[in-house]
Amino acid sequence: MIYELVKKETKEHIFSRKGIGFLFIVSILLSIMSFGFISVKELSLLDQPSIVMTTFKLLLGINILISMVIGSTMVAGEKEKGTLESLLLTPLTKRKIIIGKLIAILVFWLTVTLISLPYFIVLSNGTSMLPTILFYLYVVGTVLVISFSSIALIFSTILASTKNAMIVGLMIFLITLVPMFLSTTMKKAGFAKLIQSYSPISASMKTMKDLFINKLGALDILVGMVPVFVFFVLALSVSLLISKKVDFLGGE
Amino acid sequence: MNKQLISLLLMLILLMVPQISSAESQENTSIFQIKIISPEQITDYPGKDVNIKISVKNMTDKEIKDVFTYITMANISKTWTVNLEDYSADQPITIGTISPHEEKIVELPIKLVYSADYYLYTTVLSKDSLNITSSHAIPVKILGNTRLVPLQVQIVSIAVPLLLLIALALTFKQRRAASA
Repeated sequence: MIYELVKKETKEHIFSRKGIGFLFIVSILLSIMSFGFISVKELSLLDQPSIVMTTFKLLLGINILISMVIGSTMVAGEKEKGTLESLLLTPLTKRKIIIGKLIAILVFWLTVTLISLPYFIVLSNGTSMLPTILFYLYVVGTVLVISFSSIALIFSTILASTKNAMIVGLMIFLITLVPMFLSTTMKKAGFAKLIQSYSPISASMKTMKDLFINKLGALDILVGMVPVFVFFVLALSVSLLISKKVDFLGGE
Repeated sequence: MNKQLISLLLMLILLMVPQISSAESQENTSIFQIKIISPEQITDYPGKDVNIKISVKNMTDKEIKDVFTYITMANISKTWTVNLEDYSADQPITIGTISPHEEKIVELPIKLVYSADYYLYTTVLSKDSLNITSSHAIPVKILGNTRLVPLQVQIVSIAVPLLLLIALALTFKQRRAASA
């Protein structure tokens, strides 16, 4: 039964005009960036690990955003369309409904990784980075996308409208991005330092650098990844716990 | 008469020389001494973070307040100065007050970014003085190791969006056929 739900969600959100449109936008952005690496004077001076890292940052940023948009519409959208009732009448438990929706987002992410693979292959040409790229894409990338999608699903469950769920979810994503907009000095103190230390995004960026440039060992990488995994466990657990709240809108 | 005139001119020139050199030496007298302790040169790949260890010494008998130091880098390959914001080295490091003849050791961080040959030097100054001192430069070589094949990048950058555009057009066509 959960397979049927995943199939329905995948058809509705990924292999639909909207989903393919999103994939097309992702590919256009990756193409523009890749063209930049061979044509823009300053970008063409970058070395290949930095090129791969820049591409990863773009890919992750865009996909977390898209996954959050999809996640925000998944429960609140059903409430707004009035289709949640029929979903709740199926033998699926509320927890399984949330798991099914998360699997659908995972399918979207896996489709995106397939689209991005040709770019990574040509951008890492002549280096031995491909296994590291695949590890980062399928381990770190997947964990981050599922974590933020879970956050979107939490707000989609507790809030009645898609718009509100999307705004709150995206605000949380933007807060984790704060250190990226600040100078090195500002990151060393106060609130920015706090976010820099605990933000899963900052930790993933640092791990990316340790992996591709500093070439640190597995233990250092795992220690650096702790905030990412803690965030993943917390976000996933809360989204599954909050699944009890998947219910009709008042007055239905 | 000629001899007398030449002697007079020579005397005048000789009198002027010490004055000129004294003015020049006054201009060159620096209140600081700044040296790059380490590294002596940098040769590395982009992405690496490097700390430039420098020593700043107050050469005067007076205390100097509000002292700060910063990095400057010149791209020797392209003969231009570098915007150090990209290299996370655009912010100066505040040293504060330096006592007479005191020497302070400071570390200035810089991230290697774009592949090229550079000269890196540090500068120290105080709000109290217009006398600005720079260190000797160290050579910096940021190695490029790109093996990108532009044709491959171009093919992928065109082919992938094109395939997705075809898929998008097909979904539109299917929908139109279904509604008809």
